[in-house]
Amino acid sequence: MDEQTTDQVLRDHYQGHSLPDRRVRELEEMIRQGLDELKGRSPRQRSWGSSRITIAFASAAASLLLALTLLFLYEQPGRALFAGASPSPSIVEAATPRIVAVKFYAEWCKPSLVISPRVDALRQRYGEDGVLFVEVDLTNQETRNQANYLMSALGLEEIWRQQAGVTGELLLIDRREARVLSTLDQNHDLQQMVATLASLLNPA
Amino acid sequence: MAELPTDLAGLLQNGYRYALALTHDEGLADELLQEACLSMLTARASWDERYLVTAIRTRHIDHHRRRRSQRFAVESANHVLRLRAEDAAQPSATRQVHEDQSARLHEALGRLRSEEREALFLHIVAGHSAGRIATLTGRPRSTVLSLLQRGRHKLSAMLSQDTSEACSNG
Repeated sequence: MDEQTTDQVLRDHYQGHSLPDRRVRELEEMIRQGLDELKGRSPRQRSWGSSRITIAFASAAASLLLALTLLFLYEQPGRALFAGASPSPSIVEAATPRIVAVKFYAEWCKPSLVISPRVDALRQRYGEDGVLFVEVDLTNQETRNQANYLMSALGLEEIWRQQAGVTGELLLIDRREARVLSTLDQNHDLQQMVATLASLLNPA
Repeated sequence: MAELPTDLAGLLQNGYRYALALTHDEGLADELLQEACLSMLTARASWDERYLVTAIRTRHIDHHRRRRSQRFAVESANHVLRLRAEDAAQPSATRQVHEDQSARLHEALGRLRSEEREALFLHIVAGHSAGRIATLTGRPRSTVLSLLQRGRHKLSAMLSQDTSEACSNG
């Protein structure tokens, strides 16, 4: 096959592959919504500079108040909340699941739609069996901001940073070590997901 | 604030095809395109081909580092099945020839390296010069020329070989 023919075959091949119109419209809508949100936030962002001092002061005051409250509780005789120099590890650990299953999804993400029913089935089976199931919504900028706070509250900032906004995945995380044990996606059927989680909960 | 081009749909389709050249997988290409659009929104980038290509390429490199290579045999089979559904209205002989050619091309493209497919796509399909491709991909122009030459040669050889084998079996 000569070069000219190969070129034409290649051109025809790729130009014959197109996203469905519906999918193109979804992406266009996502982009337009995103731009609208950015435009909408800009004036508020510009006024933030004058509010930063107030916010910093409020944060400092809240921290001081929290510290005083904890000191008060610690000093009170007979308080079981802080028995000894620090909380009993066994009480804290017993209340915190060892494995956190974090589903990163977005409403416009096809792989998310694929894994969602499988994750629901996993939750029904393991939700009260030592696994904390968390859903992280990355549909738009507002939900991504909320997701950022959620991952920080869980102490999983590094994992959040490394995930870099990828959706359609279920991460099984060792919460104490903040380490990803396994990443499951649409290529894993329910049986494989169950097997993976079971092996992590009951290592041989 | 970045303005959108009048033909945003066309830009997205070209981006999808570029992602397809990189990944050789329709689902992954769709994901890459979507992620690239999100990263462009976050970065408030200009909505033009250069930024879209860069964003797709960056996401592809991230994916490649975190994931295993594709299961090519499964993808080939799925590709053939999709063609059968789409071409059901054609006469059976024509449909069979079309399926065979497309499947052979798909398989041949799958045997190329991602960098070779990328260079071939940007040059032959998107119409960019080697210098422009060097700028888009961050590679030396000599490397781009080498990728084009090797990719073309391998693809041409595979397609010619497949054709001659089919004739000998027919």
